[in-house]
Order: sequence, then structure tokens, then C-alpha cells
Amino acid sequence: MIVDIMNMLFNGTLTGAVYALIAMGYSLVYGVGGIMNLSHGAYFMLTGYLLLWMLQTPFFIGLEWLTVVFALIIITVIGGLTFLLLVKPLQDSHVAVVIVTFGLAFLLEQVVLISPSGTEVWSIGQLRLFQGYTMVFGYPIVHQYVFLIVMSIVIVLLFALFINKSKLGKSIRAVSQDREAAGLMGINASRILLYTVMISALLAGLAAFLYLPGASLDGPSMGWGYLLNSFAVVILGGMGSLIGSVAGAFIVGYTISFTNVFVPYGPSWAHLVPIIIIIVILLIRPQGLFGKKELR
Amino acid sequence: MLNLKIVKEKMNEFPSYLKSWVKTFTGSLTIFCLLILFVMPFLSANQSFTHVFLRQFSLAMIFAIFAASWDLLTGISGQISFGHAIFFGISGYICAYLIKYQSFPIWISIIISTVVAVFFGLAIGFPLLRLKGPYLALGTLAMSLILLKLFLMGSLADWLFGSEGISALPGLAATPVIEYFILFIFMILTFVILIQISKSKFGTILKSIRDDEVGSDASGINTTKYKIYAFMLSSFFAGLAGGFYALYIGAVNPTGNFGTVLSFFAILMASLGGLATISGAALGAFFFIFLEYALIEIGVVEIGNLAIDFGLYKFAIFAVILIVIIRFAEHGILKPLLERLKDLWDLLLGR
Repeated sequence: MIVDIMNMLFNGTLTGAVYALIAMGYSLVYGVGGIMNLSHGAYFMLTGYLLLWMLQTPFFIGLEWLTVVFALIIITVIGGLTFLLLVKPLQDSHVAVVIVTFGLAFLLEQVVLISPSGTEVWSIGQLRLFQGYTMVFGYPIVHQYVFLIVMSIVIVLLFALFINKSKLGKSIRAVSQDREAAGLMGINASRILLYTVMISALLAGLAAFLYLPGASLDGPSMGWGYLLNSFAVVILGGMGSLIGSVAGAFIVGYTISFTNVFVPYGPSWAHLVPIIIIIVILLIRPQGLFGKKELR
Repeated sequence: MLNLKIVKEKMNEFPSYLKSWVKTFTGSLTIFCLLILFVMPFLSANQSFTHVFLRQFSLAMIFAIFAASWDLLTGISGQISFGHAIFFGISGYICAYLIKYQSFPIWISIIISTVVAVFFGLAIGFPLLRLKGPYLALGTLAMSLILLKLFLMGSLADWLFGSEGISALPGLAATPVIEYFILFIFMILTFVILIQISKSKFGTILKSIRDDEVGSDASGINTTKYKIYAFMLSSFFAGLAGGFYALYIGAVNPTGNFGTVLSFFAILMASLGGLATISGAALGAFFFIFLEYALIEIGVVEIGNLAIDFGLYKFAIFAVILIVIIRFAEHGILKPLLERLKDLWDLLLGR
């Protein structure tokens, strides 16, 4: 019993920490620019595969840390290019933005699928910074995951600090509150949006770097699952609210791990948790826990 | 609501309306295309022709119905759906189940499965229509992913048939030619109904909701009611296409009938033809199916020492096409192309 409870608590915290990172950027982009970026899950997936491909290249033997730097730079650039080439010219039409980012997510999935490593399950365990595990009440606590949880909390705090204190963070908040007024104050709104999308891609990449070495690359379609779960997180916490996405991430995380551990056939039912959360929240509180009153 | 007198008047006007319609550019072109499609099966009795080439046309017709149903929901009424595979798949599964395990006749199972799809449209539309714009898109995408996972679930395999699905279904008709004509008739019916709907008062209301929801709410339109109607209508035709598709393939399985790919196809076809045009969906579907066919036929091409397998790359190519179309030509390519042609036509006739 105590093992089950440990299992639930630990995995819930772990899932929550991963989704906090992914959903925070996702929610930020929506809050600032009203952009629903459906390729956000694909960024997470692609970072994992970028790391894998670089680790497979002989050049990077002994230089594993460099692959992380490169992968994060590449994913940030891809995020920026997504905004500049696809989203910015179409910003006025919600339908077009959604379709075009959906198309991009699909393209990235297919590109990975036709690459030589597309159809198998891979491990990028070389990038684990901490090996081994400690038994606590009979449940193995993997050190890498403890590192992830700590790092995630640190990143969330740093990010909150960045948004609240730095000049760029203040501009981001200004644009999200009133785009036109921010423009009149001399803030280049589309440049701020560009930075926001790049930051969100970076956060998704960081989440992939922290989580995937301990787990495995399950195939290019895994991006959709992360997109779906972060959508549930963001709906639960309220679109555009950072506290909301962090709180929502942990609620979703604990719910999923509870289902996994205590419900018969749990791992299969856990897939249904996000949609149930989405529907329940939409029916009783459409703006989410911390969201603004109106839902755009 | 239904005034018999008006209906009678319209019925009397119909022949002359048809006559004048045929004389217009779109009318004559449509009749021309339909004639080509009509004589198509009689061109050759060759096995490879009827069983391979003609079946591609049948597939294109099924997808034309599917894409048109998506276009009604997203193009005409502005409710973005990324999970149209829900209705397509559920209808296919019900149809397959009824035929295989309850030994229902084919047509009754198609009718039942379409009705079930409509109920799904109602059940999904009701909670999800609180969402607007991009939220709805993700909500429907989430729904379709969930259904896909439910059907793939091993522990539910006793009820939902697991990843194997249901196979060895009877065909829609005895020969590909009869199948072709059945689908041909249903495609024409679908398009006539959908185009008439989009031109009717109901269609105008849907368009007004798309263009300005607050405005149409203020002018006394019950927007939720009409959006649910649009959802149900769209799921009706998607369900019809789904039932036909299950019988066309002869089997149903989770990835083949619920996959995100199918929703993506509907979006791609409708965007190729042009959003909110309904008839564009048919153009897009035919273009798309034959592009896919061509890519598979081309197969592996060797450029230098680089071998490119187009059959494998097709989805990536489609994704690029979708991105490019939405980015540079939001109104589609085929329909505007036809409009240019029409200008040329008018110029030639000196109108």
C-alpha cells in the first residue's frame, strides 16, 4: 500500500513537473498573442529526436553536453521560424493559424517518421546526469527524475522572476494586457511575440532534455499526446495564466498517476484523464481555475 | 416552417432553373465533369482498370463526401474541427459491427451507423461548442485522439475489438463498377444537398455566425442551436462517408478509421479546393487522391546515389502542400483557378 502511495506521489510530481514546463510556454504564447500553437507538442518530440540523432553522430562522442546546447538552439530557432514564416503573416485569422501549425506538427512528425530512426523505440540514456536510484519505502526513486523535479521548480521560479522583473518580461506582460497600448508605448509587439514563441519552444525543449533521457523515445507521434495533455493543463489552469498552468500541471499529473496506480487497467484509462478534465472544466468553469473571466 | 406552396412553386420553376444553370460556366463545367465520371466505367472492362484505377475514383468520391462535410462545419459555419475522424470512424465501426456480428443488411447498417454518427455529433458538439475558435479545434482533436486510444486499448479489446479491428467485411456491391455508381449517386446527392443548404437561409445564418458571432446573437439568432445543427449535419455526411469507407476497404481498425491522418486529409482536401465553397471539397478530394496514387505509383526515384521513395514521403509532401496553401493562398487553389478560367470563358464569349 505504502509503495502504491509513494508511486502515485512520485510519478504525479514527475508528470506535473514535465507538464509545468511544457504548458507554461504554451499558455504564455496564447496569453500574449492569442496564438494557438499546435506544433508545441512537436517541439518536445523533435528535441528528443535531435538529441538522438546527434548522439548517433561520431562527432559528438565525448561531447554529449554539446548536443544539448545544439538541440536547444535548434528548437528555439525552429520556434522563431514558425512564428516569422507561418504565424505572423496569418495572425488575423484564427482558423489559418491553427491549421498551419497543425500542418507543421504533422510535417515534423512525418519528417521524423521517414528518418532512419523513425519506427523504433529509442533511448537517449547517455544524457542522464544522475544514475541509479534510492529505495524509499520500497519504491525506487530515480535520481534523474529527482533532478528533473528540482530543475523544473528552479526553471519555473526563474521564469516567474523573468516575467515579473526583467524588461523583456515586463514588455511581454504589457503586450498580453493591451497590444495596442503597448505599441503606443514604443514596444514592438511582433518582436515580443517572436521572443515569446522562442521562449516557449525553449521551455518545451528543456522539458524534453530533462525528461526523455530517463524515459524513452516512443515514436514521432508522441508529440500529440503531450500537446493534448498540456491543453488539458492549460484549460484547467486558465489560458494565459502562468500560476494556473503550473497548478494545473500538478493537478493533472497527480490525477494521471492516481488513475495509473489505483484504477483497474489504470495505464489504459490514464489516457482518458485529460479529456475528462477538459470536458468537466468546460462544463463547470470554462475560464479555468485562474483564468480571466471571458474566454476568447 | 415548410410552406407547401413555396415548395410547389420551386418545383415548377426547377426545369427552367436547371436550363439556365447549365448555360452558366459553372453549370456547364459541372455537367461536363459529371458526364466524364459517368462514362468512366465503360471505357474499359480490363481487370486492372476496374479493380485498381476505377476504385481510386470511388475512394475519391468517399473522401469528397467527407471533405465536404468538414467544409460545412469549418468553412461555412466557422467551427474548426480537427477531429472529423471521430464521426468517420465511429460510423465505420458501427457499420462493420452490425454487418459482421449482427448480420444486418448492408444498407440498414449504413443508415443506422449514420444515425449513430449524428448522435455522436450531438454528444460531442454539446459540451465542445462552449469552446470558440482554436479551443474548439484542440477540443475536437483531443476527442479524436481519445477515441483512437480507447479503440486501441488492449483491456477493452473484448468490446472494441482492439488494434485488430473488424475485418473480412462484404463489399458495398458485387463489382467495382456497381460500387462506383452507388458512390457516384451518393456523392451527387451530398453535394446538391450541401450546396443548397449553404445557399439557403440556414446556410446564411451559419455564415453570419462564422463572420460575427456576437452580432448574430444580438440579432436574435440562437447561435448555440445553429452550431449544434451544423455539427449534426456535418457528422451525418461524415458518418455516411465513414460507413462507405469501411465497406470500401472491407475492414476497420483504429488507426485506419480514427487516425489523426484522416482529419488531416479532410482539412487538406477542403483547403486545396477552397474553404467555404463545398464544391471545392470535391475538386480537392479528386486532386488529392490522384496525387497520392501518383506518388505511390512513382515509388522509388533515384537521383544520383540518393533514393527517394515518394510513397513513403507522401504525408510529408501533403503537409508541405497544406502549409504552403494556407500560408500563401488561404482561399484554396482549385476554385480560384476555375474562377480565372471563367473570366477567360466570359472574355471568349464576349460577355
